[in-house]
Amino acid sequence: MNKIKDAQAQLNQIIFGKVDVINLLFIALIAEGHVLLESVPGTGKTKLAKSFAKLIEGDFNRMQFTPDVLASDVTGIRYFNPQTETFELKIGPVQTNVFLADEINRTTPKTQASLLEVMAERQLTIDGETVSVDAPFIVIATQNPIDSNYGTFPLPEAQLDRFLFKIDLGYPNQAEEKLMLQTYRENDPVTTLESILNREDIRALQTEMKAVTMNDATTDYLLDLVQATRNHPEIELGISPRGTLSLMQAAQARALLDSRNYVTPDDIKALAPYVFEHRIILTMEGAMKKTPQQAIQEVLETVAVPVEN
Amino acid sequence: MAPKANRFILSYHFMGEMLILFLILYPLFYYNLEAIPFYAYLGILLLALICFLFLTKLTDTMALFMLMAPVIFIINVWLKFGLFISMMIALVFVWRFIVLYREVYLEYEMNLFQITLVLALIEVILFKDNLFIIILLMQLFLLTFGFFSANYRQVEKQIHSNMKAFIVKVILVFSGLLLVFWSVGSIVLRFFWDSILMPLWQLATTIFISIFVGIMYLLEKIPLPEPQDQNMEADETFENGNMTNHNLEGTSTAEYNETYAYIIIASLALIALIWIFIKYRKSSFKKKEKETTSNLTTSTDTIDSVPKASLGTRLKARFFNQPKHPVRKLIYRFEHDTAKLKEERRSDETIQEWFTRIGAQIDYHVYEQVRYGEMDVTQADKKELEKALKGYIQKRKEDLNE
Repeated sequence: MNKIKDAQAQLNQIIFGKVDVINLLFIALIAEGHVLLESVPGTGKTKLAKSFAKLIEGDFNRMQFTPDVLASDVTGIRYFNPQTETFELKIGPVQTNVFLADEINRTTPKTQASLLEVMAERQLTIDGETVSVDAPFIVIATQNPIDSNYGTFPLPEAQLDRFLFKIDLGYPNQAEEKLMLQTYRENDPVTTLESILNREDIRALQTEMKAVTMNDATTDYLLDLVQATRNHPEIELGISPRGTLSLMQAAQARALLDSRNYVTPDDIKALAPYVFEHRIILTMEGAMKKTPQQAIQEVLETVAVPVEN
Repeated sequence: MAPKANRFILSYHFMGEMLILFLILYPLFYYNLEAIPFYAYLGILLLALICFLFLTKLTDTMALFMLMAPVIFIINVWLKFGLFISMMIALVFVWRFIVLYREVYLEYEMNLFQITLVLALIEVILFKDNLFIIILLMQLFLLTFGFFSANYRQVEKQIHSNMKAFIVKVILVFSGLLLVFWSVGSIVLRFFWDSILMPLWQLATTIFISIFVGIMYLLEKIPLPEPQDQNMEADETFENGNMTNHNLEGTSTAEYNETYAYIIIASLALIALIWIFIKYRKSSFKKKEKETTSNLTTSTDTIDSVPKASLGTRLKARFFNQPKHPVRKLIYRFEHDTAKLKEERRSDETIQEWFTRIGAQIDYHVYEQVRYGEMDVTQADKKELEKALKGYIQKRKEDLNE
């Protein structure tokens, strides 16, 4: 657990004012989830992902998604080797520990869909052959929401559902930006960053997370929230069972990071916006009146938290 | 012991409530006694209040307050109020005083006035007694004077009293006393009644009677086939000698019209009251809804937008779902205690959010371990939590009383 705290502290020295976001990244890592970072250009999405990957002693691959990237470029291909005169399997960059899918919405839906299997099942099927991906495995995707009209392809619901969190980075405030200028004046701190967590550490935490309990009251609260998204008049598509499961796992990981072996409604409530926001679709009327964040906030305000009265 | 600052607010709230009790008991007085004993009731009310206030200085034990019930009962019987009314007054006096005395925060002036207004208007229509208007105005003066004086005290504490404030205070107290004092009050009220309200009432009645008579006149002008047996029925009625037919006699048409006009006015007044009540409820509901919606994107720290659990849920929780674990019981009681301080937990708030909002620096992890972790805790942990919760309530009460 101390290593996690050290890693978080290191990351906070590189990306300023994003303590919550950094915490969420580690929660996703422990909960075996994937993260979609969304923000305007230049807010440090890629830097955050790269720095995070560097803190983990494992393989890291980055792929710049463009319209001409093919599915086989991501997952791999079976090709004919003239020297050996046999078909050989060349696995793509996705077989790694941390995979950075930079600007994921710039590639075609076909290529985006190539990530579905590996994100959900941690395995790749290439030409009938299935290859598993070793744990830990996390996909950190970035996307830019503002130039969505110019050669971009919005992620389909099935793809979005596979991301545990969608995190909006946003701008740092003036004080944080000043600190950033002071830190980056002489050199880039990412270059001196050293790995803190090894694969065994992460696997151990992932196993430990599964032992975190969630009692009936908290479970009911989680399920009430999910039901509320499904019954909300302005939400057309509510949370899927995968979303329910994701929230539970994320809450378990959060509890573990908080040195608890039980989940509280605070864990659920704190993480619900990040888990729910990209999973719901508002009705046409709902979309005119509110944003998904507001709809989720409304859901959180209507469901009673189990305390005593 | 109740803090001294509270006694003044307690007094005028108690008096306000007991004026409402008088309005409720009025029909009983009306049908059981020869005269309405308003002055006697006021006398007992003041006497009881003085005794109660005196007892608050001596003790916090409720048993002593309860001992006042038989005393009030005996006085009431001696004043020939009748056994039932005497008992009712005695019990309600003691019960309401104890309840109000236990309240930390009293601010029901508007509710008291609204109830008095509705009761007085209904009863003035039913019993046609000027006394209701006098009670209504008394209540208004009492609550207004009480409210301003109580708030004036607080303001005065904040800005430190000076000579100017003292003079203003003296003027306020004297003018209030003068207004409440019955002899002066009655003159003013009677003048108000005789010169403004009665002429207005007569004018309204005359207009309605005129309209009604006009309509009747027009209706009589329309030739309608009369029923064959009408004269026969009338004859039979006269023959029996027990009944009178006003329509045929034609002597009490004005009285007849007046009665109908009166019923129409009373019905219209009742409909208007119900309509105002419904409009008020709707507007307050809309206001609440608007506040909740506007709070969606902003901070939710304000107490005004507190969403409460449904009545059914609360009743169920109150009577059937009481926690068994002592630590959970502590938080259960704490929720009730903070509700009295208007710091209740919103139904959508976690314990952490709630404590942060009210600024309660209490280590609640013991509770979380029990409630969500289903773990047991030590007796020392429990004691510590109990101490912290009680300390918080005590401190908040003191803050409010200051």
